[in-house]
Amino acid sequence: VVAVSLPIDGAIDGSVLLLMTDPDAHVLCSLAGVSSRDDEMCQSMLCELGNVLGGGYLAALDDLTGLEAMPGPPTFARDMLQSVLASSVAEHSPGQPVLALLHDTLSLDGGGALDVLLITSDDSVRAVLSGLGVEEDAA
Amino acid sequence: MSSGEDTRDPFVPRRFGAVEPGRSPDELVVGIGGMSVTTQKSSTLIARALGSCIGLALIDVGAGVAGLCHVHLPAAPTGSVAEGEPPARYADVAVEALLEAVCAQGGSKRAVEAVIAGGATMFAGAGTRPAHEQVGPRNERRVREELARLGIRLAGAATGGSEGRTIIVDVATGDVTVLSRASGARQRFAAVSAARPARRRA
Repeated sequence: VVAVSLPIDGAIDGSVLLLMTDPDAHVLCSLAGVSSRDDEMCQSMLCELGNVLGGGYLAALDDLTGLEAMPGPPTFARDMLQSVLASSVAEHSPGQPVLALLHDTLSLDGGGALDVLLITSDDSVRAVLSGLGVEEDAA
Repeated sequence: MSSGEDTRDPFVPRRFGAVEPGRSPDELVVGIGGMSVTTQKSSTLIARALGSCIGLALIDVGAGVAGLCHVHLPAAPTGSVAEGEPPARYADVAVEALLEAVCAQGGSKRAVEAVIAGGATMFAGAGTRPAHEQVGPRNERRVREELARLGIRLAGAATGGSEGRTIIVDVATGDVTVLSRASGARQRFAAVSAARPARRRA
């Protein structure tokens, strides 16, 4: 898979992770007018897409909960799913129980899809639920 | 368990902390934080898709015992593994725990040899921290430190870089193979202790 990981900086911890297959990464690059043969430009474009989507998700979360958080600089990987997922979790949420707080699958116009995950600790999930007005007992 | 052909992708992840059968009952797939030790000659121990994680194999060829664990992080935040956590999640406790498990099945601390794979830096980009601060290199460093502390000889290592790896231990021969899907690389570490003379007191 192709992955873009953005650490979260602010009131919640963890990372935003974009995951897609190699062919879908090529579709995304084509949609942005970047030749999929230009690997460096493709990586840069996908990282920028990560910035936009990650920033959008965290801004929406802030609107709903009042928890201010910003995406940090994006990093890029292309390898096996478990390799990138485990590495992202180890890098941004070391030693904590982690949860995928949000999982969205975005369909692409040219076919294919893109998965967006917000991976965070259970403490941050509690903060988000509290911000949403959900009592811990009810959760 | 299904007796039909296993069509699962060999590089697809398994359940966290689990040790599960792979393509055949003789294949034991060690998930993140998991550990497996066996004396079954027909068995193969596998840890798949190691990114920043470390696959650590401890083998005593003479005793016919091999163990494999799949380390996720360099050190337990509290200094010990919490209840319910996978046994080999942290390098600072996993290496010794695996050694004890191998010795409990007939291995000898003096004869056990290690092969490690993984410890890669998977993510690159402007936000990447210096290499020595990243989890992969820190995992590798901690595993090497623990092996040195315990006096275990490191017979081979396929570590670092930015590619995911899969480590496969053939229990019958003690041979270890490390595969990389991204580059297609295949490294083989022979069971060298089998060729070494027996250690005897003068």
